Amino acid sequence: MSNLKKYIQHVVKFQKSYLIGLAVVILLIPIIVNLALGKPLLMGSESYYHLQQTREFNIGNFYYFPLLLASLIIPPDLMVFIPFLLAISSILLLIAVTKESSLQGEFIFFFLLFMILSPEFIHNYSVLSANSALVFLAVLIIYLISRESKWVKIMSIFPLIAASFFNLFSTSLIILALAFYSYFTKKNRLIALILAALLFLSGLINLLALNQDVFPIEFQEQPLITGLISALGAVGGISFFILLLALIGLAVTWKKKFFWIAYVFLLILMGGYLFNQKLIFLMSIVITFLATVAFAFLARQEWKLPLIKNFTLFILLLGILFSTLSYLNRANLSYPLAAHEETLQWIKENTLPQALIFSSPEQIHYINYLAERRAFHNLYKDKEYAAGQYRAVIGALQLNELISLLDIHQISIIYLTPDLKSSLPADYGLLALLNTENFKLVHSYQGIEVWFYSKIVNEEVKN
Amino acid sequence: MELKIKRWLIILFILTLMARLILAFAIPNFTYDSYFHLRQVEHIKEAGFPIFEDELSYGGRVLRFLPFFHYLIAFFSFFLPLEIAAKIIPNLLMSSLTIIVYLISYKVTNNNAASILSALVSGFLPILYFTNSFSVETLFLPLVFLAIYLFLNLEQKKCQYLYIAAFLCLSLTTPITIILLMGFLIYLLLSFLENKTLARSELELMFFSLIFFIWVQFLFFKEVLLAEGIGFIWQNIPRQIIQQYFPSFSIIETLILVSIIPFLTGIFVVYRSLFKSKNETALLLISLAISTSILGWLRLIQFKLSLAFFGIILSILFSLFYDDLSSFISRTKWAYLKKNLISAAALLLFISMIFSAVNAALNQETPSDKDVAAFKWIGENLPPEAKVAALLEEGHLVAYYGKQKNVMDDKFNLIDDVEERFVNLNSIFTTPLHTYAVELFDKYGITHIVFTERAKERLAASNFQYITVDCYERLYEENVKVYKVKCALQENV
Repeated sequence: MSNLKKYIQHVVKFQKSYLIGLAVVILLIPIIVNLALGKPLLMGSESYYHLQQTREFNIGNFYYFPLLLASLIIPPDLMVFIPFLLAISSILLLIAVTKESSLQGEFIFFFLLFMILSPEFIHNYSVLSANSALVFLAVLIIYLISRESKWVKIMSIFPLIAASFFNLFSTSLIILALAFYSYFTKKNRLIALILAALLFLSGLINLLALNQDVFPIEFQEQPLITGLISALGAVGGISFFILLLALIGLAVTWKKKFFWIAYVFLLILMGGYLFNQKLIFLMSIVITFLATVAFAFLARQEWKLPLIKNFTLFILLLGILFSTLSYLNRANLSYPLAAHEETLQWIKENTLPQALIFSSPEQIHYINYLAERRAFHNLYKDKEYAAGQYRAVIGALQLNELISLLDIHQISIIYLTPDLKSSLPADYGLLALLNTENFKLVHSYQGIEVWFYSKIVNEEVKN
Repeated sequence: MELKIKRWLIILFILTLMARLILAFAIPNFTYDSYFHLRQVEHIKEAGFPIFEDELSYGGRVLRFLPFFHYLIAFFSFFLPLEIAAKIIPNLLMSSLTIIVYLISYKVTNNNAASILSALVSGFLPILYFTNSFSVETLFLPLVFLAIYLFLNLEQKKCQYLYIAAFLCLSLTTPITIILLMGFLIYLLLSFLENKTLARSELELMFFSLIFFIWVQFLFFKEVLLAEGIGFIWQNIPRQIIQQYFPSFSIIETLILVSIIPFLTGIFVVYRSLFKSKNETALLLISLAISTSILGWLRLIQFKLSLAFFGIILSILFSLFYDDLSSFISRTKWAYLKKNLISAAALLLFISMIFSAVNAALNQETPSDKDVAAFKWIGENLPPEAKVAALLEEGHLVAYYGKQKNVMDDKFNLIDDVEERFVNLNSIFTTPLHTYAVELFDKYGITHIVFTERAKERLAASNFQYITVDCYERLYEENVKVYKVKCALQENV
């Protein structure tokens, strides 16, 4: 036991090196896997959405300017190092900020360790995600206002204003965080209040002038429970063991004064999660915090059965690690695959720029960025209408019905991925109707098919 | 333990074992699901590990299950022929419940007579008379009650270690161990409501059990969880037969299967323990009874298993009833009757349960000898690339005796098109249309079809309706019909 304590003291002492080393290894794994499989290094629908925004840069999305600048300097594949650098910087800033807090070194170490091992962290820092930028800015704000120099404190206005461009919900969360900070600090109360007021103002302007969204844009739709727990197949998700520890954390901290702040954030984020699954990353931070409280409690507590204590803590760590490894094991399945890239490149080179592509909603941003074509879902702002029409096309039983839908929406290309095909019946419906003379299979690669709708086939093919 | 009591207990154990073994050997074959486990044990014996990548089930699929039971039986099968070991060991394990129930009851009541009666009840509970079932439940039930007994004796260091060992085995035996954990949770809740402080070691072991159990399940069922999400709880069972696995609660069936006396006395004891006397040990047992009822009611565990667990709890609770009854009688003017109370109770219990128990054993669903012979013939005479369509429950027989690929069996996890397959398999047996049947044969690559006595009984038909001499060659000339499919759809020829 004393040996174990010694080891813990050692890693806590050198936590910066250990945690950064761990984060580097973990975040490099998906990149290496993608490289080995010949896949695009940049993963996830969200990455391609943001890159497409830089292509469509205008006054309405001027806040994409830093990313536009980066995309001009860095080749697309190397853009994957942007979230990677954001992760490292956020960890370093967090260590610097928490060093000056009353939190114990061990607690900070385990909190950051659990964060880095969390599938949601790996997911968000493996793709170009708004979450990674938001967390970086939030930590940077806290770091700057906690400095001694007045000028450095004033510098926090820049990340603060940048943070207000994401969405109304995250802006409100930062305002709330600053309000809490001003409540607890004597030294920086005024500046925190001023910053909170400024952020409120900036958020208000964004809402009125830019028609900013309340919630972040969602890129995947999953059932709430599935999306929450990594082991159930969530895109990112939280380890079940972390959730379990967080529940214990809630019980442990129930009557403790300071922790009501964590409850407020947790409640707000849980409420938000019911409407928007993208908030799971922010929720995972609060949950990991409570889990760390529970872990520290279990570790510090005297157990009647010391053997069981060591064994239980060991299994908890193994369980958390298991979620991480299990998630990393799925990295090879992340989209886009090499076959997607090849096919979309083919579409880009062999179809007219105005061609409209029908495919599953998950493919929209890959189609936009990699094929440089519009997807069917881009046509409509009303998502429910688009989803209804999408269902009508994939559910069409009669040829006339299908043709009329394709004509109405002026769809000229059907892009079929293995996922979409497997969700459709083989003997009837869309897949069966494609085998009629109105449709022509023009490209097929590793199970991905491109079909031209024949009425306009001659107009669409360049050659 | 007194020598006399020990002797009674041994007699009871032997009596139960004899009854079970006589019934097991009187019924020639095993229940349908047993053949899956037999095949796994056989494979472990030959290769050292279970079949997680099964080439025969569904024509080739990935299987995930906990293998402790199979390893245990594989060990015994080195000393006994497998099919003999598969009849003796599960019945031996189930008979050991008499001893375990005695120990728990004694812990609860400190009354030898009451505990012996409880052991008697557990020995002849009709719901436990699945004597020809070679299944994980035959290890789970004694092991879980052993764990409960050890948990009740945590003050002894030896029991702490034994509990850990028993729980490790349980976690590696079946996910249904969740009953125990759910019981602990309800125990915590009831203790909180009753303002009872639990021993620290109890809390620590409960927490350890929960963490260890979840970890093991994640390790073994990772793929299932990822593929099926939260739906893994219902094991991907086709909707059409979910009622068969999780039937609605029926009070009549419950009364027959757990027997009327333990049921009524159990309910009485639960009422008394919860609202009048505050017996702390009984609280854990009641929590477990509530846990199994909730899980069964929510259709999270199969009805029969839930009832079996519930029945054993009731048999333990019977000791509390008897203890109360005998102390009540000694306070009345009929105290002289107390002498004969145990004999009368034993006789009454035995008579009220033995017929139902024998009946339950005789009504087990097992394949007939003729069906088994046909599947053995398939194993010896069909080419290795054959794929055989048989009834859903006969899927494991195709793989075990027939050593051929089946179209479907009752291991549904990780199968994408399970409902469609189920409907299509039924259609093969019921459709009058030859072309439709051939389309299905093409779809699933079926080369042979089997119409067993079981199929005759279940479908009330004597054969497939579409059999023609041109397209089907009858290979097996007995009661059971085995055909080779000779036709295919034109475009595929």
